[in-house]
Amino acid sequence: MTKQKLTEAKSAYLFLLPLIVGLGYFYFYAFIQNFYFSFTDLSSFGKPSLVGLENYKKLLTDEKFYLAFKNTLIYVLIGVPSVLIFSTLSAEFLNQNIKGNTFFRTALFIPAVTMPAAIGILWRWLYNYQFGIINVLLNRVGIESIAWLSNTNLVKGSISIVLVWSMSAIYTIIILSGLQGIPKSYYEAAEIDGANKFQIFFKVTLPLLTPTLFFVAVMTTIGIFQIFDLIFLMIQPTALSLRYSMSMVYYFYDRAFVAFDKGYASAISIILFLMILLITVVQLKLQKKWVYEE
Amino acid sequence: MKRVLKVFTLSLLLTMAIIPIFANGSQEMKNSSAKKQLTLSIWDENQKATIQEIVDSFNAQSTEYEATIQLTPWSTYWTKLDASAGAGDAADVFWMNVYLPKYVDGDVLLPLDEYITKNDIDINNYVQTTLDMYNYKNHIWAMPKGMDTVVVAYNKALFDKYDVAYPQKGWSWDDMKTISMELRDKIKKAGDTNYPILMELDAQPSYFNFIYQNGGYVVSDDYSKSGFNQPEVAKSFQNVVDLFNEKLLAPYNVLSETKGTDLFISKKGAMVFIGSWKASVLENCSIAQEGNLGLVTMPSQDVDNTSVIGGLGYAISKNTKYPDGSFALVKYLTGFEGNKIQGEKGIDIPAYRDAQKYYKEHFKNIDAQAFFDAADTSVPFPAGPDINAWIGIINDNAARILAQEISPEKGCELIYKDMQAAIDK
Amino acid sequence: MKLINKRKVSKWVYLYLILGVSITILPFIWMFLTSIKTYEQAIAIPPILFPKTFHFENYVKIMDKFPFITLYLNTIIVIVFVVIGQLIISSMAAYAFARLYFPGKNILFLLVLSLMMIPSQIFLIPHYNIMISLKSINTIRALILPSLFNAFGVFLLRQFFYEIPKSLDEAATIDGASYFVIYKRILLPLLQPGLVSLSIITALNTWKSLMWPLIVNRDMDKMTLSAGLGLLIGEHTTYYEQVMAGGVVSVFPMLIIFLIFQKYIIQGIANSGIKN
Repeated sequence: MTKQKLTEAKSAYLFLLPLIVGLGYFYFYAFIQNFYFSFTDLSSFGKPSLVGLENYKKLLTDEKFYLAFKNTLIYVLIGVPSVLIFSTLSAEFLNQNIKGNTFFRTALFIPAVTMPAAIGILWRWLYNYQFGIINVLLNRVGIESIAWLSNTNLVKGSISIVLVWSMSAIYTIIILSGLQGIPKSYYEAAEIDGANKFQIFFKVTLPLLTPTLFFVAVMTTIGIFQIFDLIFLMIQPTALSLRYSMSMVYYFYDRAFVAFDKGYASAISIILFLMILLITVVQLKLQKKWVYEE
Repeated sequence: MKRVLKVFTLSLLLTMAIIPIFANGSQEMKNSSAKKQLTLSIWDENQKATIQEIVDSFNAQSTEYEATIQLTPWSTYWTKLDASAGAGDAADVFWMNVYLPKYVDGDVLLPLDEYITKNDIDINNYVQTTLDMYNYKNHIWAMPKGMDTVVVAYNKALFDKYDVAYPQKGWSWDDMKTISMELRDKIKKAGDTNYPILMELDAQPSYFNFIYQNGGYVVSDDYSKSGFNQPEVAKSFQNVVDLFNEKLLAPYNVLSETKGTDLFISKKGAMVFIGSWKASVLENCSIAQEGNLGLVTMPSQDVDNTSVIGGLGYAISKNTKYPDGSFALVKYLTGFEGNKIQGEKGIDIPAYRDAQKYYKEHFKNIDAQAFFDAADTSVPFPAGPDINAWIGIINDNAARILAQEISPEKGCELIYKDMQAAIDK
Repeated sequence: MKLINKRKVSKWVYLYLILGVSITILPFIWMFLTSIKTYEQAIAIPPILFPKTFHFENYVKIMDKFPFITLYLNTIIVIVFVVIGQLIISSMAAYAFARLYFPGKNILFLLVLSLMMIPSQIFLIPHYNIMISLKSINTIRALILPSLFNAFGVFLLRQFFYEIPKSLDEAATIDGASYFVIYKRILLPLLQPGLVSLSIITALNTWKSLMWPLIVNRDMDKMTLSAGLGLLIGEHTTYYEQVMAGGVVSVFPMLIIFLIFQKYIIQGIANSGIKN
């Protein structure tokens, strides 16, 4: 290594030091431990004994696990593109010079500051089969009531709507910041060249926004794969539709903290982790193809 | 200018922050008194004020010890207990329920037998079922605090509106169906959308009772056998499914989205199966305040009208620094005085029989006698060391049965298979 | 210097925004309305939007139950420390990942990222045990420490670094600046929107954090706002009207923080144009 490269590397490590030390101490060890536990029969107390691949074998024939797996995949497939599209549109609109900008930005941000419990309870009421406002309005125009949350075929869609709505609040802010980071000189140059609104958006804005969009894509994927709170808040544990809406993290939580079968839960978390890792690596590799780096 | 303001605010906050940051985290700093400190861990915020009263009273009369309450919500209580007990760091005294065997097997509880004898406690003062709940492997591990039973609440105003006779104590399932059919028909005729019967779909206020009422059991007394291969169990589920099909019970869609008790309080149903833990809610609801709330024991099925009894007890951490002090606290909490206060405030039905009358007297708008009557025919909540492994299996498949995705026979078959496997492991 | 100065901003944009705002404001309005209902009104079926009687005494009840000043202070302290800590630690790491070359860069980044791919509840008990060894059970610092180190911020800021032209770095290097100087003097100011976003999001996540404070801390005076409110969620019965009252009281600091900070996003970057 040349001397210059050596200095560069040393400096890099120095910049990284606090993060790596902190992550290592607080997270990495626990992470490895969790991996180890997936090969044991860990429960609440007592020394766990190794059981080899038994937990994983059990997962292969576990009907509930497959259901959770399938449900989670569907949430990701619906959710990620939806969040990307909504957030980008909202951010672009908020970036315009409109009257009441501040008001709109603050208002659209509100789901992010509203208590998750309030969001869950509110949407449960909106979706209620008998008395939810949505069904009341549908009935007024002659459409029959829909069992948004108790119909086993619809429940995932209903939850996805709330998911996209609440996630977009945060990501709109991020994309908005990304938009703000685009040097104005580019827009001016494009305008001088006679480009119209759409052309500017697709040829100037979007490409320059790709680093931020990439971030949003990866983060929403990771986030939606781990969806838990919404399901926990909106579906009663005794409802049948739970089978058709529960996610992998929900099943993990159920095994770890309700059934206290922590070894098994660890195995679930490892499978989830491997899935997310795989998809993220693919995304990272594709980054070079579509993300524009200055 | 804005920048300066921001920096100033930040520095001010930072300065304010520095002080508590370096504050000592241990308990010793806080307590200037010379008394030995005991900690009591509970999960119900609604009961906290009353328990604080009892604790204050204990503190006043104790020369050696002082107790403080730590509140953790239900959702994180067990995780926290596991973490702290595992680290030898649990509270001295804490609430315990049917999960008891797990903690005994995990060797984190103090056996109470010698303390009971040492302190001359007469266990006959307590309702037998509640004592049985904390008796495992021939030792007593917790002192009973209270008990829950399940009864039926009914809205007299609705019965009057449709001119149907009230349920009577000692009624049968068939009586219930007759009354409900009459209600159903009259409600329909009036063009209303009320329901004859409401129910919460959890095990304790519904099907667990029905299983025993038909002569079956959830798990054998020695915890080694699942009861779901008995035809009586499938029958008890079929009875509920019949209620759905005959439109006597509110539809599954409705009950799975909204709790039956909430619907009842909103005056949407004539009868509801309800647990005594809802007593305060019932006492304060408008139905009761208008004098229209009736309580009656559950209808009998093939055998009787057994109610499952749940309840809480006070357990002591094995690693407590002050076992005698902890037991003194437990003795006080579960003694006559402690139970009298519990009863007077109506927070829990006392397990101490002589104090039960105070509970009854507390309620002005409802007649709590039914809760006590239900205890006459009762069984302890089915538990055992494997409960955490099989309760989920039962809940999941019960949901499928009640939603009529699978038949009761098929559902019970599935439950039996998985539950017995979980027990055998 | 306005860029897209459309006098005729499409009415569709307005419609979209107004619709969006109505939907987002709804839960908040409902939260407030529920906070002044009785329990029976709060759970009523069909749901009551506007209660006939107003019960502001719910707020009094909440104030009695919880030492709100302490909860506020604790929450603010934790947020301030976590945000500042993360801004420093994450931006430094992000700079290294975005601008510097060193062996193991990609693997390390993936490793850091992968810590986010596991359910966070996994860390609850290990963190509890770490706090025991650090003698920090039931302290404010227990709430701060684990949150200082986070992959999200590193990733976010790395992406923002990519938006800044490398030519700036190169110009500074030619002038003889060290990596640290480049980081501090040149790049950090340009990173402002990223830093502001990260601050807001970190503040939010810290504010919402529920399980950890409940597990590691015991006394009410060490709780945060969300955790304090979490105590109201019961096993069988939850008095929603009280929870909502608490929710309304606790949301104001967050809204105010956002109002202050979002101006920095609006102000945009006066110097984001490249002065050549």
